[in-house]
Amino acid sequence: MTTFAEFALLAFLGALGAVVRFVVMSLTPESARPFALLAVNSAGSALVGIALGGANAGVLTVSSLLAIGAFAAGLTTLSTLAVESADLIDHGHVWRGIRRAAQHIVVGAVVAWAGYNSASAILSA
Amino acid sequence: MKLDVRSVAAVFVGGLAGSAARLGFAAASAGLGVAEQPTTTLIINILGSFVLGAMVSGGRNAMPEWAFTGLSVGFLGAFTTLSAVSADVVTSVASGGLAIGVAYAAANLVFGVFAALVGLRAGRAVSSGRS
Repeated sequence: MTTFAEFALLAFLGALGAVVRFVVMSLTPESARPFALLAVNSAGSALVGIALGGANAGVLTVSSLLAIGAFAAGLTTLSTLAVESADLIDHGHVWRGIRRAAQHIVVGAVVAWAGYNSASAILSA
Repeated sequence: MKLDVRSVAAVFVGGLAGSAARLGFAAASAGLGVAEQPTTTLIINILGSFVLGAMVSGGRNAMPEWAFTGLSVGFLGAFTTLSAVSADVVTSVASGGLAIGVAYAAANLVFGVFAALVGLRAGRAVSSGRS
């Protein structure tokens, strides 16, 4: 990141990601919102994994990787997940709370890893 | 969550500020040599989770709904991130650091949830002190 214009573009892409997350969450019935958050967090993690794979294969430039990373960072969130999990724990549902948070972290890492390997293999071929 | 123009605009503005704050925080700590990117992301996630917890239990009724949405979903939602955690795990595992990657992911989970729990209780304490 060298110029103000690049910084502003990355912040803009992050804001765009936040709006997409908000729209998805708003359009989802309240009972299914935890799944919508999991879907959004997984999609952002997969996207960033694919981008890392593309960069690893030499197809994506650093600027493109940063741009995709900025969008994915705004799309995904940890604070909402942490508060939902903490609220469950606070109400005595300790394991449900821990499971909820762990689900996102594990699924996020697995799909990012899968995206990274798939993109590396496909784009290097 | 109400999907209307004012809320979308609030989320966009909040998201812009939250993303800029995260990028600025990361650039500043890298520039000062204070912390590497994964550590910065961890600190950001802990900080954001605490503040959101405090806001949810103590500040929900202190402002209009669209403003609360802009701050919580927009600013804090974009300030904290899960994809950067996933990316750091991938980078770590790809370079042979499986244990470090797992420990880093677990740290985000444990400290993030703990910070949110402390925030929820702090917000509730402040809120009950006001009333």
